[in-house]
Amino acid sequence: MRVLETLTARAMRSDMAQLFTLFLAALVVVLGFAWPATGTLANESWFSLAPARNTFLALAAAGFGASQALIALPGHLALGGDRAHWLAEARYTLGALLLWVLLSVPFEVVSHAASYPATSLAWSSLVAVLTVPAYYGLGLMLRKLVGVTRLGWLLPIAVPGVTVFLAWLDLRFDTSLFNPWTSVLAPSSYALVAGAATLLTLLYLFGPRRFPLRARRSPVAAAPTGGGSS
Amino acid sequence: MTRPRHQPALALTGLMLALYLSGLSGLLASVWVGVSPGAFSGVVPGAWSAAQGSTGSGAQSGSAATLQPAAGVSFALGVAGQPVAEAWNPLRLELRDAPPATLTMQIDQGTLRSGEVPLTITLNVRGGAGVSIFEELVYLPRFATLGWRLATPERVLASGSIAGREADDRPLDLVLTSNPGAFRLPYLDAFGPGTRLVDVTAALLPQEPAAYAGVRSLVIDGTSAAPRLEAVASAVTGGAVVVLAGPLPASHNELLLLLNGADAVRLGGGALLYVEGGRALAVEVMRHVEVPARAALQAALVQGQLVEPPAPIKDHMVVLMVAVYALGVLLLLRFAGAPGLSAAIAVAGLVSLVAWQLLRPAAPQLEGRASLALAGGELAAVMPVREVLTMPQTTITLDERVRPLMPQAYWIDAAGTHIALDRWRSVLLELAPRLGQAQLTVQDGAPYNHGPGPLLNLYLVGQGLQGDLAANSGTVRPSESGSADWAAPLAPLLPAGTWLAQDDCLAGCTTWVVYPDVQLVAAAGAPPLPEKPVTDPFRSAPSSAGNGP
Repeated sequence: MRVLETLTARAMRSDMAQLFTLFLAALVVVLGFAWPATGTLANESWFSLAPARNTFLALAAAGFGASQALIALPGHLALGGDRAHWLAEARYTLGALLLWVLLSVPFEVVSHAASYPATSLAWSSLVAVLTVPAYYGLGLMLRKLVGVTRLGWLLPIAVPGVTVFLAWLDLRFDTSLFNPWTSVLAPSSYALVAGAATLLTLLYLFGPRRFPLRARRSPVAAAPTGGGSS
Repeated sequence: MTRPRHQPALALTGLMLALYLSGLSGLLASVWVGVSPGAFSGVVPGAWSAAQGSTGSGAQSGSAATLQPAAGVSFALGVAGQPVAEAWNPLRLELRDAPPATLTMQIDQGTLRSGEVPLTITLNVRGGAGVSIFEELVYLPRFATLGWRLATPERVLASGSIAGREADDRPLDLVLTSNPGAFRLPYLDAFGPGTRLVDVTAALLPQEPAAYAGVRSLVIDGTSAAPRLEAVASAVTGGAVVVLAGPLPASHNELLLLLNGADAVRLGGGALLYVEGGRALAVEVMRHVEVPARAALQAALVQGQLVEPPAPIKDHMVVLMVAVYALGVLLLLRFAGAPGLSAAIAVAGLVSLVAWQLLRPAAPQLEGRASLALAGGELAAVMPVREVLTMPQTTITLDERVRPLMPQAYWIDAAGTHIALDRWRSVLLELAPRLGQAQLTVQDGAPYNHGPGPLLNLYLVGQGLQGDLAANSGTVRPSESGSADWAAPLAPLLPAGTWLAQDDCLAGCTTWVVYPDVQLVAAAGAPPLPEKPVTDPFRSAPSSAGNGP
């Protein structure tokens, strides 16, 4: 129960709550615009909604990953707590992002059922589940990179920049390995790449060398409506 | 004298030289013949020859213009080797001592405007020692190019092509006679210079009604071997007007069984006539027989949609529902803590389940069926039409011989007919016509329902809605909720006195059409034709292309 409470608290902290609201609103708008008007036979809404949802999730995950101070800052310099606290923060942030995936499933189901694409719902669901930890790990890595190179000011640009660069790579070489927009539309090797990145991220966050999750309960994470920085 | 001792050796040498030169000259001759132009061309490694064929502005009279590219392979498309574009054609491949091979036909149905629209037919030919015959029914569209090849994995056994300009959609007029030239002038007079008069032998007549889709008439005058009863019945049922130009020899008595004592009967989509009085009279009588315009009737039948697409939910309703869901989730998370999270997850699952059940069509492809049944006598030519609507992009495969009603790329192989369709696209398919038992018959102006189910909304062209017919009944009952609207597209295409009915539509609606009895106009009411029909004297000159007497 404590885990659920902490997860809810993290999800409803202002930074995530605002973005989650924006996420749901974006999905409503996309579905509304993509849904066929009266008299139109073909329903193509899934082809707009699924890529939009997956891309939003990827950007959000990369952004939240990059905003974690876990890697860049040594434990004794970290604001508000030790290294275990930041690790718990990172884990709960990832959990909250996965909650986004779960709670936005009805949008995907509605559009998929009405559009009847050749791609199965299982594939698009799997891609969404893999995209979040994969891009979250990418964000963590970016944070580490700018921390080492002392280019922290570059971070707000680096997150969308790297995402766009990866998408461009796919478009340039006609592959589907990194692009969250196209990967959801048809089965591809994206699952392998995202799966490997997910494994690395989970290994990093939940690996045996790390501190246990409940080593020290974060007062920030436990606060139900706290406005802590990210 | 030593000279006589060498004479046997010289003679043997001379004989060998002669044999060698004769072989060489044969090869040269075959190459020389091969480069001459012809209607069709065939190429075979080693040797090939052009097929005989004739084109011209006047009536054609020729034997089977089959392609004979190699001594062991004979390829014929169409009845008697005369292909008719935009019709089902019999394909006949005769092989002699050929190994198992694959016959591939590549047809481009496209135009300059549409670009290439390919149709590929791949068929396995068994072959074997001795003579083996392979027969198949294919739909030949109006094509830009047609090429075929018979090949094993190791080598090409035979190949050939037909140029697009040779695509001819004129129907065939078949004559089964020992004197085909005698029918030339009567046909020219009756049908004009565009007639495709083809001399055919009894053995080459197909025994499948669909093979006669491109045949207008068949005249049998009894001067050659009698055809099989099945072949004549197939020709009549398939829509041709068959004339038995009497008197016929005893070998043809079997054919008279189809007439059942009458001078003219309708069987399926065609008619069978018995005419005495000469060739000219036979052709003239046949000209006045009206048969159903199958293509027009079929087009009228499929004017409406055969498939009911899934009804979409209105867009504002969807937006309202998902907005309410989003708001509910946010409120649950914001004000209910951990229980709210659990509730939100449960609501998400419930909404997903309901949406899936409500919005997901039952199957990725929806099918609608309809059939046009042209009944005459106890037989009917049934022409099924099928519409397939696919939601996901897919390739549909049908076991039957089908063809899209509109030009579309597709391919045929041993597994069936395959058509690639984009998302939310439908395709109208025509199945090859088949022979069936007539459910609706009309005797002495009274309809009778022979079928297991009722016939609804009986309609008589010229008089309107008549009522319903119960199964195995000839009593027309008033239709309680019937309407004549369904017959409105068909009625203008049919002569007065034609009966129309619909079945109960349990397995796709079948529309029954029964034409009025055949009226032998020329024989009954028209004055007797002159001994020598009036013809253009220039047309009576012997033709180089014809098989004249």
